[in-house]
Amino acid sequence: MALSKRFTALDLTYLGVVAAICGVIFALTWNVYFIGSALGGPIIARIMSYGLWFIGAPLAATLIKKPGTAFLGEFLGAVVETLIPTYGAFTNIIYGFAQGAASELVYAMFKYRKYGIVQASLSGAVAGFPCVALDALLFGDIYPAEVMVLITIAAVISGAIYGAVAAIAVRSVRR
Amino acid sequence: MIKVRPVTLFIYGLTITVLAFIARSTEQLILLTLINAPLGIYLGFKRLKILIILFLLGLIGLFVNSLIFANSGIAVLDLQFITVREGAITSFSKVTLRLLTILGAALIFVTQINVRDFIKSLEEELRFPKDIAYALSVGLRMLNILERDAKEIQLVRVERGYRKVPLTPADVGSFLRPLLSLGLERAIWIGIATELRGFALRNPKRAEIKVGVLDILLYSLLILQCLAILILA
Amino acid sequence: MISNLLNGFVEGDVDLYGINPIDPEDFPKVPKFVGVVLQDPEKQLVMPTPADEVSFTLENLGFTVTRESIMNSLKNVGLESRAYSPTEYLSGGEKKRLCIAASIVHKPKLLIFDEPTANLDPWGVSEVINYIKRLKEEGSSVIVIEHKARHFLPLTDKLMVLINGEQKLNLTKDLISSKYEEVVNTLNNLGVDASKPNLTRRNELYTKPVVITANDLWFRYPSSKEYVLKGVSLTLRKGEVGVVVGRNGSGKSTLLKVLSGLYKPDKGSIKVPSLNGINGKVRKRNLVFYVPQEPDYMFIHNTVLKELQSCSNKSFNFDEVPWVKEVLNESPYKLSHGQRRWLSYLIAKLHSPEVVMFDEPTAGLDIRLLKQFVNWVKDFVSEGKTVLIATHDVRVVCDIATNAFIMSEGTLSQVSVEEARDYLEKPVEVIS
Ligand SMILES: Nc1ncnc2c1ncn2[C@@H]1O[C@H](COP(=O)(O)OP(=O)(O)OP(=O)(O)O)[C@@H](O)[C@H]1O
Ligand SMILES: [Mg+2]
Repeated sequence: MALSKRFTALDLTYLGVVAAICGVIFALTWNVYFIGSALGGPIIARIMSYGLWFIGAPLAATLIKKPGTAFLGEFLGAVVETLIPTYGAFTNIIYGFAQGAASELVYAMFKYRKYGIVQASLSGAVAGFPCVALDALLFGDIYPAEVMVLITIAAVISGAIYGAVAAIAVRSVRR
Repeated sequence: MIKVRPVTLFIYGLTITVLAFIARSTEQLILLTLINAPLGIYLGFKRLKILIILFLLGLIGLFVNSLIFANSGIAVLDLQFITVREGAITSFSKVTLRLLTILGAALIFVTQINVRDFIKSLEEELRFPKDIAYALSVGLRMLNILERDAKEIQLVRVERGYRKVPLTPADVGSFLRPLLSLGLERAIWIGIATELRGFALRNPKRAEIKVGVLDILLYSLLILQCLAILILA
Repeated sequence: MISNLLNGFVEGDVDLYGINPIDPEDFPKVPKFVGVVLQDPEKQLVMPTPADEVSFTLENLGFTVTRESIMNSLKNVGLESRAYSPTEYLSGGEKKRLCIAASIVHKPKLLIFDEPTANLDPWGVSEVINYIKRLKEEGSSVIVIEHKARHFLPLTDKLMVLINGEQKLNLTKDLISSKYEEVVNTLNNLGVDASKPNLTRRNELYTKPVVITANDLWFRYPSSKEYVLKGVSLTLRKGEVGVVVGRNGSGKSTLLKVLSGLYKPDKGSIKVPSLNGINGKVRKRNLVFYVPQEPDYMFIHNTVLKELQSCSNKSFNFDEVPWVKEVLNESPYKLSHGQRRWLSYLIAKLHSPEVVMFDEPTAGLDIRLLKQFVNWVKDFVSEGKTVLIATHDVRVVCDIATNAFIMSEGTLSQVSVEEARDYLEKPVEVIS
């Protein structure tokens, strides 16, 4: 199996832990999203919460530093969330797949050599695009195009912030 | 009791969700909703009441949004402070139908599936690499432990006078750090233990995909829905 | 052995049934001969149910798995009735036994136990010791790594003490049995916990003012029907060190959380006379502070300095703990385990509570860190404060307790410190 050559049991366990942490964080994020919606409407809600939903990729990649981990971190996190289940249900898996793939691209662009805070932040930011594209399919009937643009900006900013938060957190606990 | 196989449920749930994303016309969405929502809500009402209630609350927010962003066309209802127009109603109902379909499919999946069988079948039937199946079982096992951690962290946050739900990046950071710290510490030992139990030697067992009566029923229902969506398109 | 996994570096040779575990080629074969049981079951179990856990080992090593082989191995550790119930519902002792079952199901020739008694109630400890005894009688070799050597001395054929990576002592069975007392003394001097704990007498404090009283507390978790606390009452006076002992799952942690006002009791009252208040107010003024078992739960900020500043605006006296000065700008999570524990005590203290509640503060600590904790508590109560500790550790009971309580199936009874010690010692003594 090609995968087992690259990942040790330790890496895989780290992935599992990241998936579980994502499960917990993603589930909590629904509260943040609803609180945000109630307080500030759809755009504020997205700034406050969307980045949290992209956090699996920067977490896993900063931690394990191997090709494929960004995608798997986000995707497995989404699978765990689906099994809990949370409000997002099966959409989680679809979102997780697309966001993870986008984040993975960032690390690929750096040829899998750099796993710093900048990369983490970027990987969070780009996850905003597929996410909003999927949002458009779901909610496009409600939000007109100019609002979708604002939503995209909100998602990207939020992703960048929380990508950095994830990387900094990993750095400050690694002994 | 006859049970639907986890793989069947997984494929069904995922496909229906994809259909809900693709479907654009109201007729398509009504069809999907009529089949999946009642079944899901019937199956899930007992165990997942909170999720369903949350969903209904979420709808209120959605309606407000559609009033703000899509309130165009003929006036349908004139409340003194606001006029509800056709645009708001149709866009709101479309999104609601879409979400109802997704909710229904998810409820069917979650109520019928046994997580343990699901992971097993990922490896044995869907032939996922052993790595993915293993990482997922660790994830699910850790989930229970981390939920306990999260509760404990929240208690201490309350005790020390901080917000219980993380709302700002700083909150999130201070929530993530203990979760990561404990999670990684455990991961190191789990990784070692797993290696010492011979994971490197593992050759996953592969099995043929078996289908029962219920599986065939569910697959046919799925194919029917796919066809209907095509015809209505 | 782990050099292959953690990018460490090992020099020298090991011969394990003809293979060399340090050699990357041979390393994957190690599990065929060796079973390892780690300290904390939460750091070892990966599958959703006991049956899967056992079959995971078997499948890895290429055995054909039958229902029978799984059941047999679970029966060995008394878990056959729990084979298909979720692992997270098992008690601490049951999880430990499951770890053992999963590590020995393939009948390895050598077994390694890393601190098999940590976190277990005395019944759990006695089960584990009995089990190790049985394995030895069946002809397996067993290596036990322990702080509490005492329970294992009667079973030991070879004993080795490691200090900072150096081999300080190497004894054989003959020597241990012929000069038992002497061996125990030497071990104690080396910092190994080898002798029976002695009770140190302390002054009675019945005349001091009452700090906290709880009356007929009832509590259940919203997710379950069963009450965890069923009419618990207790009184603590100024300067007392109370200990709560009881089996895994008897409700000790729950009691501490209710007493600190973190959970609201369904019935009953908690009074803190100095405040003349009720539940809500206990919390608001932080008069009772709960310290969880894992110090990591306690930290909120990303440097030690901010952590200390956030607790109180009083300036901090560094003479008490000189090392803190060195790490002010470190993240709390980068400190050593002992330092993190200490920091969590500091945080508790800086909130200036009247009573501090510790949940299993000494699980997995060596004798040096235990002493640290004991001294901290002694200092703290000498300032007129009060402490309540939930523990399985007989050393804590003997060294610092002034009052003891036994928690059993949701009810609490006050006992003498001697009784609490005997309660913890009896189940283990029967074997040794
Ligand atoms: N958050 C929770 N939700 C539901 N039940 C819980 C929760 N926490 C604990 N319990 C249950 O309450 C009972 C008492 O648990 P508690 O942790 O207080 O026991 P304990 O005496 O501290 O045990 P241990 O010695 O293992 O630490 C147990 O049966 C446990 O399963
Ligand atoms: Mg406890």
